[in-house]
Amino acid sequence: MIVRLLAAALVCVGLAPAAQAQSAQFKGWSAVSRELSTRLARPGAPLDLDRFMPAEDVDGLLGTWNGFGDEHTFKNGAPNSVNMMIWRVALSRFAKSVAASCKTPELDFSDRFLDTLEKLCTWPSAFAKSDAVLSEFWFAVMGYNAPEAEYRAWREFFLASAYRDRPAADAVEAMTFAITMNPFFLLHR
Amino acid sequence: MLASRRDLLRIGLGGAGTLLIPAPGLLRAASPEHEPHFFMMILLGGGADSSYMFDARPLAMTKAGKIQNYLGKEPFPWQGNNGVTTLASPLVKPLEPLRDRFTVLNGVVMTPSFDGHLQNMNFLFTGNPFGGDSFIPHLNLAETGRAPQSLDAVLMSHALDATITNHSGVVPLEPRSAAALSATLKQVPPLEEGSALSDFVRDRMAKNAAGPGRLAAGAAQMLTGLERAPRVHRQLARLTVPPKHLSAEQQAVALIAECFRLSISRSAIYVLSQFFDVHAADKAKEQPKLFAGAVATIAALLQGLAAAPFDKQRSMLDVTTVLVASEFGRSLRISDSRIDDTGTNHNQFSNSILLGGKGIRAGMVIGASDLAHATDPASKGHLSLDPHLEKAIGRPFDFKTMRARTDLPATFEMQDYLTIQSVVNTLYALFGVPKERHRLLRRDLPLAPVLNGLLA
Repeated sequence: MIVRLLAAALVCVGLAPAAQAQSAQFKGWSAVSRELSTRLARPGAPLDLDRFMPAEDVDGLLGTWNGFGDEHTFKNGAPNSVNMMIWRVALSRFAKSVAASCKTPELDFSDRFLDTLEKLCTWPSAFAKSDAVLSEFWFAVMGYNAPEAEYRAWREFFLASAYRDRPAADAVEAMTFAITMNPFFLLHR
Repeated sequence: MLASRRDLLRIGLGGAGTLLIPAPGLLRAASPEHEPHFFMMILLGGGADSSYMFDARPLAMTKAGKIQNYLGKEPFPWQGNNGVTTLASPLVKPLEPLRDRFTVLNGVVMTPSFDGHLQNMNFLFTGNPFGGDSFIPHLNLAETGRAPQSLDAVLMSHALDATITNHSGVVPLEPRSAAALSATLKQVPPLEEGSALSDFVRDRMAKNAAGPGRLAAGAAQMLTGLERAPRVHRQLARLTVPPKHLSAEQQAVALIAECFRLSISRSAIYVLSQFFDVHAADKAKEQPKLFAGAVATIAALLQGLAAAPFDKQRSMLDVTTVLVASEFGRSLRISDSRIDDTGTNHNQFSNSILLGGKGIRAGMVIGASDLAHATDPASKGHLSLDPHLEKAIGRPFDFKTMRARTDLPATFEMQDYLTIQSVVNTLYALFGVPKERHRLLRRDLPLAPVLNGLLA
């Protein structure tokens, strides 16, 4: 009898649809701005990142908190074609600004990040391609949000692709964009 | 609040201007082999009291202490072209010029087991009080025989409180932000596939999308979004910006019409700014003002759709099915309060819905709620759910004649009533959504019947 019940239970488990994993949502523009400011800006002087948004009033489309009484819900955090397009426009503008800072800082970066950037801005020198310089830049922007495999893939891409010999302006822009468009950078875990 | 003839003409001309753009998406949408069919939902949040619109009660009932009425005016008969009459509040007068464009459904039962906002809003959208897949993206599935659009729906608001799992393609897009976005996107090229960097970014999303877990699911959504982004980028860059001097409703209609014409989206959701949850008496007393504003907005939206051209022959309303709904209705009163100083509670047993536009036989009145007059008896079925007679309940419904029945059933049986499941299944039938997706009356009951008499 027990064996039959067990078999029936196993059949039921087998027939049950696989539980759909809930999807991670975007952190939202304000959280990403805060993280970037914490990592890259001078203490107490957050970066003005809103200027990279393609329009005013669209930051809410990237994920935002709504309050109704005691209830707080996160809205618009599910990735879709519109918010991906906005992230891409905003983050490519940010990346361009980071790369332009090789010559003259366009944002109020911390001295520490400017030191990191200065080393990377010698690209395509052998020094800039060293693991020490690349990992320093990676951790400065990504923080510790991503597994090491992500760093390795990113490093290999820039060491092996056409970016290997491109000028610093192009490479740094692309490197920054590639980090910030990574799911580990944009999604809540 | 209503659109002037000049303003409507401006919306129309804006649309006509768009029609001159030879966009592939537009040509596809307008071509005869792809019959255009759009959907717009106008949502009254908080649970709107049907008695302030199309399910009113005579003032004698208020005098008898049965139902609050803070308007204090006698309702008038609203006769459907199917011979059925309901009482309508004078507040709906602005909708009279449009009476042949929509049908009134009264006594629509939501979820009998729950009376909470979220559960009933979930039930309206998903057919499940705990949430799930919304019916709106289903209207955009390839299974309907139409090419899927870039977005499942545009949402004219950030506020839509429901537990919905398939709304990643339902995107808030307000006229002001859409206008600014469009202006910027005209200057920035979309991120196309093919460049080494673009392929690397996609590759990381694809690699992380493999396997189980929340991050993988999110990465998969990012990848899908990124793949569709160039198309929506080009489409949004073509949006004609609604003129700023237009009212909010006119701008919304102009933007929705643009999204429909440019194949950005086949559906739109417009959440009214009014919030109808009036438990406290002082809030309930504001209902005449709330509904006056809501009716004006609904009328402006319908008029805007009727005035905006889709092509040379048809208006936007000709090619758009429109649903106006709240998550539930409201109780007649609160039993321990004076009738001139009472709020109202939630009532999931009787909701009013308006359906109009493409594919709908308009001008009818379908269904009714009970306790319509001071002396009306309650059925035993009613008393089993509402022993204190605080709520009107949908009357039993004859699906063949499409009329409310007059009998007083001894028990409440779902299959005897007009339900939101039937309303959604009727939309499914209209849009060609396969039967497999149609809603059950209840898990242990068959599919809710399609309201065939409502289909044009």
